[in-house]
Amino acid sequence: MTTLRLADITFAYGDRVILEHLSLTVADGEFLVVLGASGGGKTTLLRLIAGLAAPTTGQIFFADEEVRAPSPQRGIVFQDYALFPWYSLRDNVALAVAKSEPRLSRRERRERAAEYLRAVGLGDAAAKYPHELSGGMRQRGALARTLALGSPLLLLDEPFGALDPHNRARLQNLLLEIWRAATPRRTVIFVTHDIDEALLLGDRIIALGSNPGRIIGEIKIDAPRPRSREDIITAENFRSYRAAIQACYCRRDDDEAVDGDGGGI
Amino acid sequence: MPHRLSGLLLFPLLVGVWAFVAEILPPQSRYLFPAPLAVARALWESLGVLWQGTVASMMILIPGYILAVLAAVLFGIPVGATTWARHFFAPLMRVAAPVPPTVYVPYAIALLPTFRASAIFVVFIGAFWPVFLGAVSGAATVPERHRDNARVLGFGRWEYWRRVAFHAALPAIFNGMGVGMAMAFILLTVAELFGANVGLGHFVQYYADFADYPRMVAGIIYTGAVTFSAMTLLAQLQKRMLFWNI
Repeated sequence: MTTLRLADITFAYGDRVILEHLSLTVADGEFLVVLGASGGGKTTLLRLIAGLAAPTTGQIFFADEEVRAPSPQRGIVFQDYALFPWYSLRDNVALAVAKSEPRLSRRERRERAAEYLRAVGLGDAAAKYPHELSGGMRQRGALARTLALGSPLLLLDEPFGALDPHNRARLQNLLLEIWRAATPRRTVIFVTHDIDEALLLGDRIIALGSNPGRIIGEIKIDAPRPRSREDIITAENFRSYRAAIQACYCRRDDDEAVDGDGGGI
Repeated sequence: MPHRLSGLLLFPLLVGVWAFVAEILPPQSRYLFPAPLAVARALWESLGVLWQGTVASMMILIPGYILAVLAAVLFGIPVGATTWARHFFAPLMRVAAPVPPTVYVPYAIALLPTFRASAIFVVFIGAFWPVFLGAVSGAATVPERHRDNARVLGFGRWEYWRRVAFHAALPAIFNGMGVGMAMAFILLTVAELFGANVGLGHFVQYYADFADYPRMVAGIIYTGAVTFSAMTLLAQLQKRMLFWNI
């Protein structure tokens, strides 16, 4: 069992409480979207799950073990392109392969890395360095490296936030393809502030309120996949999901404006 | 590019001013302030000796400098990347690094058995501190995203030093190497003024003793050219190794 469980997590930074009494269980193979405003503790939540920071109180369990430090079991893709700029794409990915498949020779590792890069459509760019790539390509590279880690749990922190709409849509499709093709499916926790993106991707959406960050709503999306982008805007079921999400934020004080059409909060 | 080329015009201009000043000086001062032509003739005649001096000087400078860079990087990356080690060595760095290394020259010459060993030693000291400080500060200020990545990838200490901290510190290391190179040349020539019987510093000192100022000035200009070449070489290396840092 690789279920993720957060038991009454609080995280404070000095006097500032970032996350408060947050409990959550994520099932194997689930695609969970965490939706919330910028600065609302979404990134902190992922960093806690990754083990890059420790909760002030409460515990996090993954695969029945308490999370105390980062592990390749819980791969993370950061918001900013976090490939090592001094290594080529292939070498960046090969570093992850070396962790997941340590027995491989140097050459086999590079071959495996090239396979991962082909899977995200970067087969021709393997020898390139991050500064030679566009933002979308770098983010594909970061995704390939995290996939190469072989993590059963993928943590994605607004991974497509800085991309233009066209590239964002392509990478959303790519992520869904990769997630659906794998058996068993990886568990994904995807952080975003974009309602459309949440509706397109998630099995379940957690609405996170800010100051302090806590769960203010939870919506299960029972729509078949693949979902069309048009349906997300126009179809009846998605309109009611959208209304339900917006209601979560409206119930809270007025300090969080909700933008219904553009898909931003 | 036009700006860079126009900067080159400065050299003939300076030589012109030099020639002019030498021309208007009273004859009895001219031997102290030789004209460009006399210096050029002296340079031409001394090229053989100067080349031998260059070889002798490089036999000191290169081993001293390379040892300094290696030691500074091998030692500085772990120190910079480890909080307690950084704090532990901070007082030493604050006290020892600013000491002008030229003060070690007489003692090093007295202490070590050969002139070459003592000169290599002072070049080492002079080049070590700037590179070490660069490596320490570079390894101490690795951007958080790289550190996070290393942790998620499960890097051990050694792997972190080698694959992350070293590369992230490389720009700071190269800055230190530039300063260290200048220090190395200063210490080399100072050491040679003191105790050598060959080398660039010795050449200048030797002809100054004989009041042969055309040759002495030729030696200064030649030393400048050697220093410039070394710095250019270093800049080229930096450009190649830091291709990702743009």
